[in-house]
Amino acid sequence: MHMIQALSGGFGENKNKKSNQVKMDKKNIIIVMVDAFRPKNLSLFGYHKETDKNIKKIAHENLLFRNFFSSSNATAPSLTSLFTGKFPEHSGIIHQFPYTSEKEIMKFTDGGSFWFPTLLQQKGYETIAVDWIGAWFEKGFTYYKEKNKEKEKSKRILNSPFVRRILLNLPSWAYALGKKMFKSRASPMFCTPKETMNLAMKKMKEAIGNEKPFFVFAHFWDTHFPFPTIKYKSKHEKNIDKVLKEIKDEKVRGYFKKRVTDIQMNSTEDMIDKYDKAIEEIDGQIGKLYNFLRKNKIWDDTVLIIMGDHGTNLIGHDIYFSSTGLFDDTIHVPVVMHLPGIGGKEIKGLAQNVDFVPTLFEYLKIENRIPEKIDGISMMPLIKNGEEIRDKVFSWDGLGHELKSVRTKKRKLILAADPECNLCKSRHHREKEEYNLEKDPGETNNIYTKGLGNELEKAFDGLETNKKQDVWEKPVKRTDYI
Amino acid sequence: MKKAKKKEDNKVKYGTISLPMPLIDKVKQRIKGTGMNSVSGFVGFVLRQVLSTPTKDSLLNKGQEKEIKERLKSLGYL
Repeated sequence: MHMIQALSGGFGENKNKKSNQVKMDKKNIIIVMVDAFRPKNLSLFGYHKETDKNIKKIAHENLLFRNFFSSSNATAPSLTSLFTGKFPEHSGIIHQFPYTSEKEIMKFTDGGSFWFPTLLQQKGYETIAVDWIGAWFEKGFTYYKEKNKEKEKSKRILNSPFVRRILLNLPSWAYALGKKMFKSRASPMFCTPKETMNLAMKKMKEAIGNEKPFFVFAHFWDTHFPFPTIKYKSKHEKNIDKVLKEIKDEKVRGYFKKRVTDIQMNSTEDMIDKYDKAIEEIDGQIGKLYNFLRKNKIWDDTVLIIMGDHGTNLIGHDIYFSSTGLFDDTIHVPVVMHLPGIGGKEIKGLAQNVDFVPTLFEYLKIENRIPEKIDGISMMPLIKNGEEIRDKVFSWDGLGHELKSVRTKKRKLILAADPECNLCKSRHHREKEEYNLEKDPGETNNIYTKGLGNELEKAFDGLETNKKQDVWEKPVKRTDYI
Repeated sequence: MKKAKKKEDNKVKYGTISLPMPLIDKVKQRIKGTGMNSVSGFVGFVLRQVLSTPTKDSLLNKGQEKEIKERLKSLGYL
């Protein structure tokens, strides 16, 4: 299958522009991006706890993707792929902040100019992001904020070490009273799920008031370790010291120890429970959003995408509570999508985050063609007719030095030219790893045999070939947007 | 009545800016047949582009860099 395919199914080269001009269906678009979101902790994917009551309800009435993979295990490259439709190696952004190199940023800024939010802005959308990472992600958004900064400032002052020292020196009754008055948050730095959703809905209301279609990107960081906004009281017996003793790798042990110090949780079970609670709280907000869209009678005019930017390891593979490495835990993500007019179904074919741009181009008839060569493939044939669009998915490690993987439904190959992890400085992968996912879905038995050759290795050659041919050609400057 | 007031409150307020007439004429010529309805729409669009296009310095400005580093540290990246 040709990997570099901008569009499929009825959106070919447009020779007669005027007669073939399509009218864009300007439906609202909402992306609920849940950070470090893994299917394993959702009852939709067989988890024993129902953390996802509302997501499940929406999934049953709409599209549920069972085999969806992010092109990266880290936020910055993953979101760049989402908005460019390009794999990290092609967009330029391979590594997560703060490991994104100057060279990567230059490649991104000097490379192609296609950026999905900018296109929607040009098309008259109110483009709104509720997020904090900023940098190039602000591009194309009319509004890019996460909360009321002024309000936040006062909370930060209260949480500063100097003020806290003063507060701690007060008599206990005065401290208790002060604490009650200011009701300190779990974290002063991050928005709670409620704050994120409330701000997103406030901006949606404004767009509705202005009679403009909107594109809302709401990023929930609450599921990222140490789940900073979630209030949780430990209920399991202390086991951290035991876990630390069991970690064989000294560097992994050191990193985990550093991370669990000062988070006030007794055990790894507590950490998993807190992760589940974070999902539940976000799920509650998703239910609120669903009711909001119904109440405002815009459900049928809105595309809703609920997805993870990447997955996460909890305690598997000797990696603790981070998304480093390229095991499925870090790249397999849940995706639920509401496309008005298309009924509910489970999608079992492989798909990736780079595929959203061409899918929305086709579904909303945004333009006849995408202005640049991208890696994404429209998912519409998969959605409408169950036609497989990909036989392989590709991912890059945004937290390790130089690692990438290719995966079919049955097999997976991980290539680590330089496997050092930027976080713990250890190595989570060997130079080459291959897994038989049918027999070994947990990816525990490396079956790679040197010298036998490997079909999957050739898949990367295909990407290289395309790169040499036309993927990297300088895009033709378009002026017909304005 | 209340609903109408709320709708009114949510509307973005607009201001007026002055541009030389020859520039306005050039813009009018430029937007002909492009689907862009007005000079104001074009100017708004161009300004949004200029303000949102990252420059090397603006990608992570000092204030932002400090704040992002703080958060990245708390998330375990630093």
